[in-house]
Amino acid sequence: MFLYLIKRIAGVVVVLWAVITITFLLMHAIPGGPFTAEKKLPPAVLANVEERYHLNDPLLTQYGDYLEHAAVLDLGPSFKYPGQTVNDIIAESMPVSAQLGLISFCLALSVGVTAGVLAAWRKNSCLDYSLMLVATLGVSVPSFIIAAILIQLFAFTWPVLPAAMWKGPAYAVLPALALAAHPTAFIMRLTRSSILDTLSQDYIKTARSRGVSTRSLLCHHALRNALLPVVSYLGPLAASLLTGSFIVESIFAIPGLGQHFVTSIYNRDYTVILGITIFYSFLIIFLNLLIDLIYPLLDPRISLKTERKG
Amino acid sequence: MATLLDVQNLSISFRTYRGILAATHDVTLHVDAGETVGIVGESGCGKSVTAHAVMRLLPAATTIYSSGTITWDGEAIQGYTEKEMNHLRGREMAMVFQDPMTALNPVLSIGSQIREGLTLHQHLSRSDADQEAAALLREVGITSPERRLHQYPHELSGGMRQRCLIAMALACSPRLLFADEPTTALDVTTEAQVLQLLRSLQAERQMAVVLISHNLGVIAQMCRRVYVMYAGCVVEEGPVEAIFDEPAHPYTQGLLASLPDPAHKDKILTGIAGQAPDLFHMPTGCRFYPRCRQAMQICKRQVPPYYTTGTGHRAACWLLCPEREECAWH
Amino acid sequence: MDSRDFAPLRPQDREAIYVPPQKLRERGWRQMKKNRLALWGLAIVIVMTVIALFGPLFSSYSYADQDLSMANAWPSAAHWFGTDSLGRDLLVRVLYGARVSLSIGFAASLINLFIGVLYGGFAALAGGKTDRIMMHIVDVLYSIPMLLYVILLMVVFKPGLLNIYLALGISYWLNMARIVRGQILSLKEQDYVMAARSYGASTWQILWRHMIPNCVGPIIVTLTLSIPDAIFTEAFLSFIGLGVSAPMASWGVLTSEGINSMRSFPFQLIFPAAALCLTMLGFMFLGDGLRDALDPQNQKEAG
Repeated sequence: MFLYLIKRIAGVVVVLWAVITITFLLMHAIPGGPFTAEKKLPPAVLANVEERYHLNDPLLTQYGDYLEHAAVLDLGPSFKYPGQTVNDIIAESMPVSAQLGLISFCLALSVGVTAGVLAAWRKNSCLDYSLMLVATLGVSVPSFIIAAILIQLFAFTWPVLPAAMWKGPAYAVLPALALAAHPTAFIMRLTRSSILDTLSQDYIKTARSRGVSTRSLLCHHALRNALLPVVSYLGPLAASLLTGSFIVESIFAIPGLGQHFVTSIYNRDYTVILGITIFYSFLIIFLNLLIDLIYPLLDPRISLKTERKG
Repeated sequence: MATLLDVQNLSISFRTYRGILAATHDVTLHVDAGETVGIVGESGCGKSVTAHAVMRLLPAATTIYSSGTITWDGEAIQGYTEKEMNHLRGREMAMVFQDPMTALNPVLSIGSQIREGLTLHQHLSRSDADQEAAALLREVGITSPERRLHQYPHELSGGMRQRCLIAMALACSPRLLFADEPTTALDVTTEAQVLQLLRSLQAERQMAVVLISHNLGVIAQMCRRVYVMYAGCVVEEGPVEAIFDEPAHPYTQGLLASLPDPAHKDKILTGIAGQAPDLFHMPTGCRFYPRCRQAMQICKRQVPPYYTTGTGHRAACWLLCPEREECAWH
Repeated sequence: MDSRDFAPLRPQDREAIYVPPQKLRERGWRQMKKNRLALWGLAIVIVMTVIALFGPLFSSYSYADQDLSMANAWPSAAHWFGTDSLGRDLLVRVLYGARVSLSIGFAASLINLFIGVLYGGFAALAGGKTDRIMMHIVDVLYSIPMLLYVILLMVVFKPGLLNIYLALGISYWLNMARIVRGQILSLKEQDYVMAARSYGASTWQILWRHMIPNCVGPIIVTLTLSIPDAIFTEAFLSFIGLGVSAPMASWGVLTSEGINSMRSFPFQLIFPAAALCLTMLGFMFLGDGLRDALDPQNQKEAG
């Protein structure tokens, strides 16, 4: 167990190193370097950037410095806004994004799993067909279109909810719905097919031959096995909420990290883009580690001593 | 002895992508309390389907019960609701499955799977159920049962798992146990142990056992009566000795002829030419006639009825028709 | 009943009970045909592809023609889908967008296929340490949110059609590589491959006759489902300003432009969004249907 943990953490360190190296290389792949291209920089920023990046040093020295700073999550100054560091931006806007993300996460998981179970339970019924139709629509419609429809319906046609900003619980409803729509639909389809797959297993027949009721069959025997793929999806779910937040936060004018990221892409604020990318990668990688550690608790076939395959 | 299970003219088919598949046709069989009955036949002949149909374990959406009745202890159970069936399953009749590798839920401990039936049907408390489960495991010959209760299926060997499945089936002392090819997936030595276990449990508990197998040797050793099935039909039935000594149906004769016999090394193992019919394209008349060496004109046209032979068993074959003898005289 | 009934059956009386063997491919197609949604999906995909290829030819406008006097015109006989803020005909832009979006979907998926099959196939066939290391690399890359790196790539390189093809193509092959490797590894264990090896078939023969035909199903399914993913990602990139550059138009560009003017000119959002969503649905239905028909796991039910 302990050995496994150390191995996993060592693995994570390697991944983080890879992330930092890729971003470094990408930054230096920009023709002419990121800081000399395009228009003139304000002198204050230039001084900041020069001091931080030592652009005249040999590449290897720069890389070493970069690695050193990134490892302790010191992501450097902003390139467009003098006096602001990337860390400031993250500290300021992360709480909002985290709230929105968490709400959507819970929403997607609870609604997705419940609807998936219902659809599988009433397989080939009207309920099943309508739920699956909604789910298929949900995975086929991009989140910005869903956001646009939601705003049109609930903020303009039938003005019950605010369409923008972040000033209280009511402001979270539409963005959370827009953000959760896609993952909810995905989890719904995943849960349904996984439960149907589990229900066709031999051990379900064994349980039935012992007189286990249909409900207990579903809740006790099938659900736990069927939810394993859903647990595996939690990592991608977090990643999808994260990238989804770029769009949803921009549309709903929510002052979160996602919107900052998009703004910095428009402004070509390279240091912020890189900083947030590294921060996001760290976040996702640690979430994945956490999920891998939870997984064996649900599936006894996978012990912490051996690594999970696939 | 009282008849426990009585199946009359049971025909079952399945809806599939390729069309309707006829799985069994007019299967009639009965099981008396406390006796061991064998069902033997090649794979796909409908022997498992019959057992699963009795316990209503076939997928409800695709199964068609075309005709026939199933009577349990004097009561027709076909009209039973799922809830009423759950009352029977596990408590009155239970089943041991073919593949112990897939028949146990991988994410639940052995203990919790055995306990389930006990708490469900006998309303035992958790600690009582635990003790009972341990006792059951001991009864089926598993060492240090208390420890096993906490283990998961993947930590046990195939033979052990089959024992666990038997313990699970026995949990509520059912009156009838279906053993659906219980030893097919096991090694020969384990097979012998499991069969011996089944036999002693049957004697101790006075329960009826329906042993489904493709292995004639196993059937001969374990059973009092036997049903021989071919392509969804029962072709011959009767006491084991009678059928083994004087098989009346050419299919049974073929089965016996293909059995190796160490005592007669010069015996020619003939087997049966051809292969079992595709269940989508059943031959008309007797289903065995395309492979039968003694086939007659009538076999192609008409389904043979059951004839009782001299040794007191019944077979569905035109060769036994009394009129054939008469015709031969003229 | 008379004596003729009991006469022995002559060999010529025994009708040959011959059941034509069903080919796996035919069975897959038969199952597809029963799946009406999948057929609809296929129809949508074909229609959209044809429209993308030939649609723009039949329009008297071009996707870049501006007519500021006609800016933001509502749908009419002259402009069926109306015009955008620069007076460009929306119909021809949606048709042209189909070309761009679908080409991104197909090109990115083909690059995925190429890299994924080579990488996964090589890892599986090499086996041992090589396989372990190669798959470790895939695992490492898998735990990084790839979309972030697509964004970075697009920031670093100038936005443009070719760069989108490349950025999407080289980022999303991981899934394909995993599936190909898994498939080949499980095939390697199959008895019929062992059998082929035991009677002396060469590696190439085994690859050609046993491995490739059995890999095609899962690969086609993955490919079909990766096309909408690529189109989706392109729409996403367009939305954050990293899509194809003006005056070119993809559905992503058109919808994100439409969102800005959604309140006053809803048609500017509705038409491209409908085209995008319809195509997505088409690929989803088709992909689901193909998976049901070609997935070997589903075959046992039908057998």
